[in-house]
Amino acid sequence: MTLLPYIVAIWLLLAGLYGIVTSRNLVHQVVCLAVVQASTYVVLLAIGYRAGAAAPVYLDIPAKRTAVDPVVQALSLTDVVVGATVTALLLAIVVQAHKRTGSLDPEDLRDAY
Amino acid sequence: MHSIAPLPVVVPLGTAALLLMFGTVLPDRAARALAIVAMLTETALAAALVRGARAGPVIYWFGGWTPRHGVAIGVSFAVDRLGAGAATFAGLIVTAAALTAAHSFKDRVALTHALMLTMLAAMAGFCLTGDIFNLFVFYELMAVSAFGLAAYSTAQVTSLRAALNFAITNSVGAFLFLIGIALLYGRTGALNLAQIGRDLAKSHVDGLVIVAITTITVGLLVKAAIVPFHFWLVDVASWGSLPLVVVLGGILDTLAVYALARVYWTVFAPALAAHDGSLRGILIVMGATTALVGAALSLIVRGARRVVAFVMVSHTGTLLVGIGCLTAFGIAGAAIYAVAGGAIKAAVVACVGELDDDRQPTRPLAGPIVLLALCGLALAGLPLFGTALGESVIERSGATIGDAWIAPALILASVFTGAAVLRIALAAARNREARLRAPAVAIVATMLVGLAIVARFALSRWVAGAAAAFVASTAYGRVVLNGAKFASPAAVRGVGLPTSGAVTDLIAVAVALGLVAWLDMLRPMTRRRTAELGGTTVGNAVRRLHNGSLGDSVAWVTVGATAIVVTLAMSMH
Repeated sequence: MTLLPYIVAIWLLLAGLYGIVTSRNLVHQVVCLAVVQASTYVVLLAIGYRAGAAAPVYLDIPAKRTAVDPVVQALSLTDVVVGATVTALLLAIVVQAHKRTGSLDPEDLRDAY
Repeated sequence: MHSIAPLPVVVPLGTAALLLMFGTVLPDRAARALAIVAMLTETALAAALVRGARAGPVIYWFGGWTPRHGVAIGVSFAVDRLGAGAATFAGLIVTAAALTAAHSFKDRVALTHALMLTMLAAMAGFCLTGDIFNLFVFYELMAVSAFGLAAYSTAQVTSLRAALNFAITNSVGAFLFLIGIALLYGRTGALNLAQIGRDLAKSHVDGLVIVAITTITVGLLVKAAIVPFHFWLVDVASWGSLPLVVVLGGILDTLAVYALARVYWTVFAPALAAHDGSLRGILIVMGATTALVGAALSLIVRGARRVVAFVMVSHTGTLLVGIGCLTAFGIAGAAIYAVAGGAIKAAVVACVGELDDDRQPTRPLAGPIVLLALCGLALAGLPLFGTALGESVIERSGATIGDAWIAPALILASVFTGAAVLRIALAAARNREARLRAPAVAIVATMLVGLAIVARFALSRWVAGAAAAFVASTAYGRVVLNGAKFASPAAVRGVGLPTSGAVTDLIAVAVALGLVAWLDMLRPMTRRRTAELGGTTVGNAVRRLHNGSLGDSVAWVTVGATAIVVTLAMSMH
């Protein structure tokens, strides 16, 4: 087990959070959320990874061969679906906000009442 | 009984699909009726499960993948009385929201009701599941439906902004939760709650487990809108679509606290046993802070919906104190408080949202004013309502674990929130144009207030036993993994609830009324100025802080999360 993927995950998490906090563009902000989410993919895949193991499809490999954990791959896939839904919904809201204010700057949404 | 366990999820989800398929050809009335029938069916099914689970959790393995040699292979629903009770209450609240939705969701009826149904299906699954990843997925389904409903009024910039804040802040919380789940899976190779709990208890608590506990706790606290993670809730409650806010105040943010209790008792309790003191300290302090800050701000801010938003924040704080006691009685108190308080908050939101109709000047109707006043008294702690009972049980459990300061803090919070809602009622009484547009709203609000009274008497009989079953981690694990019979003496025998006398509650109500009168002398409530107190420095500072900036909201999440991680890691090591 190496620490590298976990360091990458923490880096992605912090970089994404920094982006959301400081961004001046709503689309950019949504993409930063996707970066935060990318950290969860890295953690999940790192947990299921086995050095030198095959893909978990036992059609064309011997049954005794070690494979990487298929459960985390299923989890990652579900996570991707959740992420795609949230991103699509957020971008749709951003499009609407742009229609109303003509701007993508979160500051222009800020003091609207 | 086992075979009906998945139905509370299947029925609303299937009906949502039907609405989406035939939404364009169905008349609006038919779509609305179909949705409400599905919601009531879910409520009835969940209520049947409450009954079915009285002798122990009802376990349902999807696809028949039962555990082999005590190792879970498949995904299960593990239905206990509190979980099924939460699913029942979710059904009631979502039905109430749908009944009051006629004025808010005028077009796209089929689509909005389909979203409400997916949200209800997700809530039911969330309450019934026995699998931690399932818990996450149902939470996301619930959240995404809610994001969509929050952004319903696309013509209003404020509503879009609230939806953005809601979606981004909650998603950050969800990803933290997911990282915690991934770490637990990495340690135990299991996703079943009981299985993770059993495996964790075998080894000592190390750094990885502490990181998992903190990320899961923080992720759920963000979704529960605990101070300083509450900014999204204030925005959504002030600007989101009304039916969503009814659900939000009624149950949605409560469910995050429920999940925290569920995960703690099934996963962490067996392993932590000895050093759960630091987690308890953090939860209670954060809960009490949230209760007090939310209550104080509910008196300061202007605008009725904003007041209600802070009442919601304060209430979730009180619930967190109850859960944070980490005792069965704390959970029993929180359960009563969640039902009674949730019903009251939903009633307040329904009344407040319908009150300001400027188009048809008419004489003020007594109905909504009386309802709001009753809600204010319930929040202040009138012994007739479940809120008073729940709060006193939480206070007593706080005293049992040696935190006697909890009682005065929670009483103060309830006095403030009660006074804040009473001030809205006062403003409505003085507003000559106040009337409820839809009689349906008045009926629903009356029923919700009634529910808060019924909760006082109906729940107090069985909730202590249900809470004792909820915390019986080892017995739960044996039922889920080994198919054993549920053996928890306390849960079967049933226990009485510790309560304090009604005198304190009555004094609290009197103080709240006095506070309303005093504030009214300082700054009379008028139509234009609903519940404004600090138009001065304090009020402006609060308003500036809660001006809906998305970056600020996430920055607070980062700061709060870091603080919790550092505190927990330092105190547990």
